[in-house]
Amino acid sequence: MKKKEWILLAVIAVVSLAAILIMRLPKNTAEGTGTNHQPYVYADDSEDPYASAVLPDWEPEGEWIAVVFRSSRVVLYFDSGVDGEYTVHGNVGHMDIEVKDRKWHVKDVDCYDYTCKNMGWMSADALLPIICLPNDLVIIDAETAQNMTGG
Amino acid sequence: MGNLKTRRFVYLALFTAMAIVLSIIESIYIGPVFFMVRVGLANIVALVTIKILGTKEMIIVNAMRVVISTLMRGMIFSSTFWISLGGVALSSLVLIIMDRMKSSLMFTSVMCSISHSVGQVIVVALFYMQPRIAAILPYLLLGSIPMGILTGIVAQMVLTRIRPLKQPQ
Repeated sequence: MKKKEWILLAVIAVVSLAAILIMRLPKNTAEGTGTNHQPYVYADDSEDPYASAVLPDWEPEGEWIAVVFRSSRVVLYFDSGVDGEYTVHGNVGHMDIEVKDRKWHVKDVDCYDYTCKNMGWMSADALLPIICLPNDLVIIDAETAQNMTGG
Repeated sequence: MGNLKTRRFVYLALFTAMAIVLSIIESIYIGPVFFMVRVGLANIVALVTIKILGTKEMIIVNAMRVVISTLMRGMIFSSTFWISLGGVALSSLVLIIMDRMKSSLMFTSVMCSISHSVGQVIVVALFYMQPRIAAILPYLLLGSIPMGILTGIVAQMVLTRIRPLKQPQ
């Protein structure tokens, strides 16, 4: 490789590293409000198989996180401030989501890729949603999910 | 002349087959080596094709790779197909530019690897309406550099063993 090519690659590497370090800086999180409501709402598909879950109107301990199926339907809302485990189903099979200490991750998934599982724990200040392409499931904050699904 | 044309056609068929097989093997059996970064084995074939056969043939190999490998996995026109197509389209464009600029093979390989990741992120951002997915780019860029060097080394080893069939520009 030529010298200027090495320099360009070094610049890309340094800028990427700097961006990663900036994104990993800790942020302050708001304290919960301490409610006794159910910390999750699944979509009720008993009558309409395409029905989305309804965003709960009570305040969550953390924030409402949505699991979106095929970019069109919210299948689950869960409170990121309450520990728990949830199971949803996608194109290929099931996806088990674990919530602990205001963070959530894919504990187990039925697909060939495991990218979503390997993404590890996400929190409210995470910039990325968890995406499982084979199952077409996205785990994202409720506001973005509503914009995405038009509801 | 006729013999050369047949050789080109046979090489094109072989490279297309290799790209499809490598793409399927990588997606099913190898998976990401670090975070979401894959080696990009099929990029080796794209690099070798543009150096041995030319630009037009490289585009054919890359297009056939995306269409046939997703068709064989039952994912044609699914989100996976469009994301794959986005990555391949941008990496092919960068590969053509780098080839015209006479950049070194290693640098071309790294830039292809980077542009492949960028192309995929752009499609995901559009597909899922998630511009924040761009936050993943620094990780992908950082991972693409060693992967690009790796594929560049393999492509270099292949090119020392096969005589180019394209006309010198």
